[in-house]
Parts: sequence; C-alpha cells; structure tokens
Amino acid sequence: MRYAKLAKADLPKLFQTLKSHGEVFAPVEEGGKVVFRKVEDLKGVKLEYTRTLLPPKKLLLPPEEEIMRYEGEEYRESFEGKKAVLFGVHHCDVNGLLKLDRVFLDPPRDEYYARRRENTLVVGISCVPDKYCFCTSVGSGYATTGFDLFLHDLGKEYLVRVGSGEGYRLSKEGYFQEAGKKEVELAARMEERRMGKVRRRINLAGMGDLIETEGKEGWEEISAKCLACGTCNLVCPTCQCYDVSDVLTLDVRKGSRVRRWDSCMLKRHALVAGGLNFRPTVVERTVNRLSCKVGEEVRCVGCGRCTVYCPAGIDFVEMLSAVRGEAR
Amino acid sequence: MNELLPRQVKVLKVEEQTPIEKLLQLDVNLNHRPGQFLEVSVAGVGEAPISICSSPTRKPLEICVRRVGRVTGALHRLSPGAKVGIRGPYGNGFPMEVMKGSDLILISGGLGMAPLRGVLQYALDHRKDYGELLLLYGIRDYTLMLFKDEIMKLMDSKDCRVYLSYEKEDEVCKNMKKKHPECVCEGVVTKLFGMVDLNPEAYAVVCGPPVMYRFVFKELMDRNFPPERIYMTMERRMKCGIGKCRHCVVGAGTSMRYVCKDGPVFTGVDALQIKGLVG
Repeated sequence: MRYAKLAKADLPKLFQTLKSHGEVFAPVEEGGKVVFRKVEDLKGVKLEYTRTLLPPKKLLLPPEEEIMRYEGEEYRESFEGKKAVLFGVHHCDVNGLLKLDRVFLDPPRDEYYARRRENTLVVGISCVPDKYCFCTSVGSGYATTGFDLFLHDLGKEYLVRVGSGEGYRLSKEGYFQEAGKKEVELAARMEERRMGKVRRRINLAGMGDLIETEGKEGWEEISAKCLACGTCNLVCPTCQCYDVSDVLTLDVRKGSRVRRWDSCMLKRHALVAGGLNFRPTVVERTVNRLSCKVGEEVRCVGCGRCTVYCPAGIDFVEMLSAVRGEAR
Repeated sequence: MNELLPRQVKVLKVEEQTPIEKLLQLDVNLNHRPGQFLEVSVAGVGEAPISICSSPTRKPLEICVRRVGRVTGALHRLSPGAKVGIRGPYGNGFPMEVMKGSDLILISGGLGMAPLRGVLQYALDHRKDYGELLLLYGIRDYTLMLFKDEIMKLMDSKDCRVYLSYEKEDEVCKNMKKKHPECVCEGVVTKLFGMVDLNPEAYAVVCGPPVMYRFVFKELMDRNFPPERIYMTMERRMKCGIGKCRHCVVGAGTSMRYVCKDGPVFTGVDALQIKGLVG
C-alpha cells in the first residue's frame, strides 16, 4: 500500500480535488443525527462522529431507483452515470461496502451497483466509537481495502492510506507529502487506542449451529418485543434485500421498473402469489435475519445501528447472547 | 450485460389447460435444462418466476402458468403475437446427465407436473439413455389435470408407466379407475406408492405444492430410498433469479441457500441438512 501525509490545513484542497471528480457526500449533523448529505464545502462536515443514521450503502444501492423504462413492450435500462465521492466513511462501513460488493459484483453482477461503485470514490476516516460498537469482534474494526483513500488523524496532519489506482492519482496532488514508517507507527498507535474504546464484544463461536438448534420457545422469547417494522434492515450497512415493481404512466403506454429496499422482517417478504407465506411469523423472520447476519458467515460489521435505532429497544448483541443461552 | 434487463419474445400460442392454467408457447430457444425457470415480465404489470415446462429437445419453449396473481393474470390475458419479457433460464435444473442409465420415478402433484413434463419429454426423447420411466401424478380432479392428452396417451404406451391419483372423484376419474385399476386410485399422490415397487437404484424426481414434499420425502425415506437419489424442485419467491434480492432464501443457521441460484432443484441430502426446506 502507498502511504502519504496530508496537513490538516490542506484538507480543503483535497476536498476541492474530490469535488472536481463529482458530487461529494459527507457526514453532516441534521436534527441531532449524523447523515450523509451532498455538501459543497467542508463547512458543517463532521470529521469526528460515531455513526450515521443510514449507512453509505444508500448512495450505491439507493432506497429507491428506476432501473428501466419501457415504452410499448421495449425495455430500456435507466442509468444516470453520475460521478460521486463518499467522504468520511468509517472502518465498519467500508467493510460493509466490501460485503455488498461480494453480493452485487459477484457474477452475474448487478450493473446498477457496479457502475455506481466504479463511479464513486470512497474516502475513509477513523471514527469515534461508542458503547454500541462491536466492530472489532466481527473483524470489521479496521479497513484494509475497499477505499480509495483512508485518513488517520495524527493531530496536525493525516496519515493517508492509498487503496486504489484512483487514490494513487489523487495522492500525487502537490499538497500531499510522502509518509513512511514513522507516520504509520503513530497511526497504528492511534488506531490501537481507538479500537480499545470499542468495549463491546460479541461471541460468535458456533453461532450458526446455536441458531439452528434454538427451540421455538426460545425464539418466541427472543423476538417477543419485535414489532416487525424493518428498521434494523433499513439502517444495516449489509442488508441487500430489494423488491421490484412496475409503475405505469397515466396513459398506460409508458412506465418504469423501480426497485426499492426491502426488509426481511416485514410480513410480506417471503409471500408468494396465491397467498402462501414461507415466513409468516416474526419468529421465522428473526431466525432468517440472524442466520443471514451471523449464521452461515459473518455479514454483520458491528456498527450498532440496528440496536441504536430499534424502536422496541431490541439489542442485537443481547439477542445473540440469548441464543447462546446467556442472560436468560 | 445487464442481467436485470428482459428481452422481448413473441407469444406463439396460448392454450387453456385447465380453468386456472394456460400453456404459453414462446418464440425462443434457450438450450435450458429441464427444471430451470424464467423471470417473465409483462410491461407495466411486473415480473414473476415461471418454470419452463418443455424439454430443450422440443421446440418451441413452453411455460405453464397458473393464474394466481397480477403477473400471471396478465399472462392469461395475452393472445398469440403479444410480447413478453424474459430473463433466464435460471437455476440448476435437473441433472439429466447424472440420472442417465437409471430408472426415473417422477412424482408430481398439481401444477408440479409442469417442470416434470420437461424431464419426462427429455427422457422420452432420449429413451435409450434411461431405464424404466414411472410417473406418479396426483390431481384434485380431472378438470385440473394438466397435459391430459399427453398423459392419457402415455398411459396406453409402453414408454412410461403412469399412475394417477385424484382427490375428488368425477366421471372421467371413475372410468379411468375402472379401466386401469392397477394404476389409478382415489387419494393423494403418496397413496400411489402402494401400487409401485421402488427400485432404490432409481432416481426420484419430485415437484408439487409445498405441502407435498414433507409427505413424499417421508414416504421415500420410510422405504429406505437413498436421499442422494431424490431430486426435488422448490417454489419460493424468486424475485431476482440471480441470488441478490434474497427473497427466496431457505434454511437457518449454518445452512442457508438461495432457491433461485442454488436450486430450485435440491437433493434429499439437502432436505436433511437445510432446515425448513421440505417443511
């Protein structure tokens, strides 16, 4: 990997370079929450924050997007092809993007996601953990790939890790300086301190098997408080479920095909035409969600969003402790 | 290539099979495997997964559509000459090569006959490659029987032994039972197991309504039929067909599968390992 150094005073210069690539989306505070928004300059951008409400996924896999249009019977794909920059993405969210990459870039690849991913620069930044974070115990506490640049705060300057060819070109801008072992050592110490603040642990040893063998009564207890609202899915950086529907114009000749995020916790998720529902109960949907996140492989990146934003106060880590037979 | 973009094909023929099922011939040649499915689009209405019910050895390609929702309702309203969008073929399909040289026992209930018709046609068109062919077909009543002429013709032929069960007796069923008491009976499809000898060297090929699998699987297992020689094709909500949208996922814990990508054909071993696969 290539390493460079950027004086904090030169951050606006980097921002301008990024802006010349495309629209820049960065974390800003809105109504007491941090959210990724399109910004024109660094004013108001939160360089230090804990977690955004929605993960940066929303810019690569939009909550709703037109995927094609048709006139008569002919389908034409819709694609904007806008260039963009995701600025200030945390370790866990970069790892979340990598997990989405595996879903949407593995063949047959999803062209919409793939083109957006290609058109989007990702600039990572180190985070401020809180008591809900558990990234370090799901292997997502540190991003080693999946970004173009990653900024580590060293006080007066940033150590910049360069993660792509595009990042390499950016790091050749005049305001970057060379960095070496000294800066990397310092950054590693800062990262150690940061990761030390991630106190929460999740024990996933044998979790898939525990989920598989948990009894009906156990699941009823575990999911008793769940409202099946799907908030956990909406805020999750790795939830991939989508649904597709056709929308007609009033003259019925033209229309578009639209895809939207879907939630596996919603009642209709596994409903087929004819009325048969393969996961009609909250219990079945909870088993499915937990299996998806930590059962067959670890898709959870430990960002804590599903716990923080659950309106029923369900704690993801506690749920899994219960599956483990602890805290019952 | 954009995998989500359907291509337009012409509907060549629309034929009523039953009051709720129509057979559509499509002007396309896909070199599919029996048991694979298509994502079929009607512009402005939507897209739905439909299994291919013809063998690649027969042209043109055919799908059998039961009217159960908006997309299938729209497909039923189409006339020859209309166009539909298709994507696919998707899924693994039945491994016809693996089953070569063996007897085949096809077990189907209701609309489950549709994907199995592809297997049946394929085996008939490669008759020397397969041993004895048995078809166990459970219907509700004669009006809901699919591919009536083809199956009645087979009943009188030597190419395939046909066993038929019906749940509601009507005149036609009664007469069939009178004419072929050794292979027609009243009851659900599992009742037909009493009429046949199961060769454990054969392959069982199963398709039916979701509730059927548990009973058929149990029946086969109770008769010590080897689970690795059972192939079952499953229905779930295969919205994208390519393992992305995750609606069709089955299983729990360590064993999760996409029906669209890892299936829709699963073995009896899968059924033992994947929680909830056969109910």
